[in-house]
Amino acid sequence: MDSMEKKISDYIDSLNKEKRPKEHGLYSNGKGKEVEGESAEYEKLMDTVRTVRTLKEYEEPRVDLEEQLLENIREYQKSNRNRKRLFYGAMAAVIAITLFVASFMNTKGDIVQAMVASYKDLKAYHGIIEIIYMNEVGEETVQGKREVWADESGRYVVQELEGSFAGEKTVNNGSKKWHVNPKEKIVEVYEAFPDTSRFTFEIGNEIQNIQNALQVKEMGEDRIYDKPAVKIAVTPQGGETYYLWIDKGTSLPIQRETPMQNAVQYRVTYVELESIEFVPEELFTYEVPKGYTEADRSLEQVVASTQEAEERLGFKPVVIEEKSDTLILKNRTVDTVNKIFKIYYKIKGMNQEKDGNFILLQKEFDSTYETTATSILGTVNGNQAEYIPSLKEDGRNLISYATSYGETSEIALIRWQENGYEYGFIGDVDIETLMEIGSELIGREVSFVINDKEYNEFQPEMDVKVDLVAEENTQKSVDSGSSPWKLDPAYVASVEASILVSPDGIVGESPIEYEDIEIIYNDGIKAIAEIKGKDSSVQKIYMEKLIRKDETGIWTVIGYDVVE
Amino acid sequence: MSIKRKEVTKLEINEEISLEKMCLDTWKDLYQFIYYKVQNKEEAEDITQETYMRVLKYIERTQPTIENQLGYLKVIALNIIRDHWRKQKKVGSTLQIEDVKSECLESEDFSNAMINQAWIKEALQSLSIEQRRIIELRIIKGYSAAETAKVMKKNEGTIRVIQFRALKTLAKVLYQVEESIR
Repeated sequence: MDSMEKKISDYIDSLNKEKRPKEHGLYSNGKGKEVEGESAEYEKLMDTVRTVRTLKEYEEPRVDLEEQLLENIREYQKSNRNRKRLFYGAMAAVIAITLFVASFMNTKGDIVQAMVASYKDLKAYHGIIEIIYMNEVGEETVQGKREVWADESGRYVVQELEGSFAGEKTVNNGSKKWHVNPKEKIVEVYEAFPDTSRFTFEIGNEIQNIQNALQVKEMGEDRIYDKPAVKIAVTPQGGETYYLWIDKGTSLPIQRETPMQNAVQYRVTYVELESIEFVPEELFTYEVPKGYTEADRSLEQVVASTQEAEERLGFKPVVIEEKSDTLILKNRTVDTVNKIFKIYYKIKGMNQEKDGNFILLQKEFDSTYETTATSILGTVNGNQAEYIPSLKEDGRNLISYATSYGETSEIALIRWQENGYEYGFIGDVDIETLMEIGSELIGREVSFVINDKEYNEFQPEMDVKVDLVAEENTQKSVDSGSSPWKLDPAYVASVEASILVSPDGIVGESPIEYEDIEIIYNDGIKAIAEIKGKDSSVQKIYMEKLIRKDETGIWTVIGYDVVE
Repeated sequence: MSIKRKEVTKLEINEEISLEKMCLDTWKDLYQFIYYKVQNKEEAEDITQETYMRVLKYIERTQPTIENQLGYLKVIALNIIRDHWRKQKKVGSTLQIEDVKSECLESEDFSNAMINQAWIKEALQSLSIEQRRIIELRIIKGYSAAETAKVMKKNEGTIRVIQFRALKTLAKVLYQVEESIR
């Protein structure tokens, strides 16, 4: 049978089921699948089907659509009010909020809603986690077993029970984080925040991932260690679909299975999980066992006041203009080696289910400062600033963060230079909150343009033909760890400019160096690079994230301007 | 429909209540309009939501006075549909909200449903009885290929072949009519 006959029949079936056919493309909530352009003949046939179908009575929408629409408007206005607070005076931050994603989140099935509600009520939990490693032929090996205690304020204790780390313990008590290693007889001490490496299968983290996911789909019922569970498929914004099992009794996740990548797959299970009122306080007490040495991996020392900080650092700390009710001052620290002053805050509320963390950072001018190529550009007080959505994506140039151990959580950074200092806002919150808190604290105008669809300078003189299938394949290989440079617009621009300069192939050194590239615009989805190299016949390279529009999406060159 | 920019607008005065009211007043008609275009509930619901989000952003940015709210929303909805479908078709252009004339919207609106229906029914007459029956079962009644095969006492493959030929004939007739109208 002709494939077009089958395709048009499938198209009719989709409409009959009241589902969006794949041919109708991708929407801003991430549903649907982008497909290649169809032939004109097939387009006509699809139009014809829809035209004939207008003879049929239209299908009523779901009963709660009206409520959903009103809810979306209220959500938007709520977030708009927050922004207006941020913009008062001369402030002019422009943010296109992906509220549609938020509204989609609200439509993600009862099981997810139940899980969010259950987590909200969870004060603390205690469990045993088993980590199983699976190879491509299905052979399973227990990689480790660990006991975890965690509470709603983000404190946790992880005791390794089995596996190569057996006996080791990691604790974060909100004031400090430490790692006890009995083999080495050492206790390593770190800052409590930013803690970019927490523990695998942390329940709050899992739920946040689901809320941020593109798609969540129920797959049916199952049993995990004799507990009835619902299996769901989660498609994150960056990456492949993985599976999660939700305990029907507690509505909490109890098992996660990663997709097979490079012939390796992991299954992590709470073989035991109990909700508790609190974690025994003695578990959070810091002590160095007898015979152990203490290694302070943190260069930070707590100071009692800004006056003391000034004395220790030799420069005047930034003036705090406003003290918000939502911010609770935790402590101030100095790092006298790197000349860094930090003020730690706990964030209460701020559109979040659990408390967040915020750090205001000030550092003496450093000539090695340079913007990170993958960051989104904006301004603070008229100075160029950068927003890095996830510190785990790019640790280069960033000031002393935690080690890579276990799983990471999203911690974002806004930083810039002003009057001889480098400043930073660091937090496990979204960009709006980060901007709002930071600008109110120190009275700076903060302006970032995120995904500005109407950016009118994005008009290349020459278009580059894009092979979307090839780009999709490249995205997959980048997802599995290959060609990470495709995530760096400066690198992509340097390669493209080199190819344009040397169309017959690059011999010897690349004619356009990475250093010759300056990213002059980057809103996270679109970017423009200017070529500084004198050999280049190309002046500007225009790039866009065509396959996935988040920090894991690859950059594709879509056009360029030639040197006049 | 016309859209004017003013320094102070009704929407600004009581923006929040007005927006909710606008939504309550218009969403059913808007949904129906979008459904008419996309012919499936899932997509129509999504585009309805996206349309209001876009209008919120547009109002916030330009503060226009909107005299014909539904017409305004329909233009935005059409642009959303075109934006996404254009990725596949690589044709069509975005309607600028300020530039939209009422007659342009009318032609997109298919508001005269009676004329349209008569036009489609006439086009169906160009099919053989068997083809017409299969198109009615598959598209208007919403039967699956298997159900249609059972009713027509044919196999599914044959149903798909007849359906395909019927659609090609219909497309020819409908596009011919459309072009002669232009």
